[in-house]
Amino acid sequence: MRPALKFVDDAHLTRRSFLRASAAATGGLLVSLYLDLPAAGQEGNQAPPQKVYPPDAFVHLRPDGKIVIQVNRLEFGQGVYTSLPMILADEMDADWSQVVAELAPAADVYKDPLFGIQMVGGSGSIAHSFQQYRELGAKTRAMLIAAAADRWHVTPDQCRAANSVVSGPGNQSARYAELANDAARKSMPENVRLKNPSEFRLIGKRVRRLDSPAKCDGSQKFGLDLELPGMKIAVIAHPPVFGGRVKSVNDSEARKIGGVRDVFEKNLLARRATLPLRVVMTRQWPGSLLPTGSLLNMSFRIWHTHQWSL
Amino acid sequence: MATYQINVNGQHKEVNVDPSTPLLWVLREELKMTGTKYGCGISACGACTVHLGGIATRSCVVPISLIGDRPIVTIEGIGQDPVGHAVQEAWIERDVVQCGYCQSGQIMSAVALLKATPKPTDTNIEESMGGNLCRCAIYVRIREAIKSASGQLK
Repeated sequence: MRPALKFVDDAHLTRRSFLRASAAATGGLLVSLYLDLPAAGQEGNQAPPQKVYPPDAFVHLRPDGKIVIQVNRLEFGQGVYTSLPMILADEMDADWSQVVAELAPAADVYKDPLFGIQMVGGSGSIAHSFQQYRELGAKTRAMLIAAAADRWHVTPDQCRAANSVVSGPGNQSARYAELANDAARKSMPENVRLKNPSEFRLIGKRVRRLDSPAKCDGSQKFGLDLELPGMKIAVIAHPPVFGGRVKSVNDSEARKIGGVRDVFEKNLLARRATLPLRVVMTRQWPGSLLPTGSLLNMSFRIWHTHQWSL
Repeated sequence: MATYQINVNGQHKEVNVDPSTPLLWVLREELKMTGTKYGCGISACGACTVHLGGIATRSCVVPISLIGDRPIVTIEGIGQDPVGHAVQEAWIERDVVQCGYCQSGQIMSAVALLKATPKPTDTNIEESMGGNLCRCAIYVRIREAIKSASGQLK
């Protein structure tokens, strides 16, 4: 077992997780993951409570046919914004052209199933969530097929699904979006058959990245683009070499700059501090230049430990 | 503080800022146009590239006081331009992006290159795009996409 698995919270793993379907307040079908007790009364055909979307859904099949899939990892170039929806959409037999990816918010259900924390790293996205997203897709598909079978008075195994359409034995067909409301009233199957890899339509195939358009027209929001009411921004003045510490600072000029609220020394790590000075400001300009400019009149002590000789 | 009239993506804007404020921060903090990215602040990485009077320009080092009446085009407006649109389409078709942070600058530089040199050679591309850094190292796909966009232009 890899050392990283020590991060797993045992309580998290022993808790059962449940998938549950519900009707979306805005219409359509939501498939959500619950980590604790299943809702009593979810069994049977009574209408499930309406939910506000997300906060814990993985799939939202909208009335317009769009399939919104929550990505429980941060996209930073590795491609999970596309690959995790591909996995789910493949098992769901969804029309890929209708798939919309969304970055999931912070919530327990979006934690890495193995690490037990909501994180990305260690090349774990596909390794840890492959089964999770496959099951989500397969169960969503099973509910849509069950809804169609009920409608046509046939058995689910007489029906087939492809490209967001369920076909029945008598040439019936229904689009997923048409079945969503009925499917939301079905109980979630406990076990479903996952595809044999030879049946994969999307996994292993090349599709275009879903995050490209927003990254090509400037609309993609990055951390730097976040703006919250009253938000302050801190920048750090790094010493020129690893292990350096502040010897002296004269911040009187820096404090005259509009928007600069404070300049202070802060050791992040008691013994190996390399990030000694912070500037807190209300706007990124011009304070963002302070750490690299001369306005702080900083000098550094870089020989404070004996381990390094440069 | 001083008041400046500028033209951004064909729209007239008025901003009241310190004359030394770089164009980048006027776009990002005054006009809330965050598509143009801050990378290094010293004109070394190209993430902040915009078109100023039609020329690819590092907006992090151009103070607002030097803009004058030259029109500014940013990543938010480049799709209105036929060359810009072709480059964006080629970028999407070739899956150029990874993390995407440098892409606004890459695309603005690529459009400027194709406007000046519609059929660029590898050398043209390397010389024109060399100042736009990408930590995901997608340079090969950038070169392919520029050639693809070039092929789409009449």
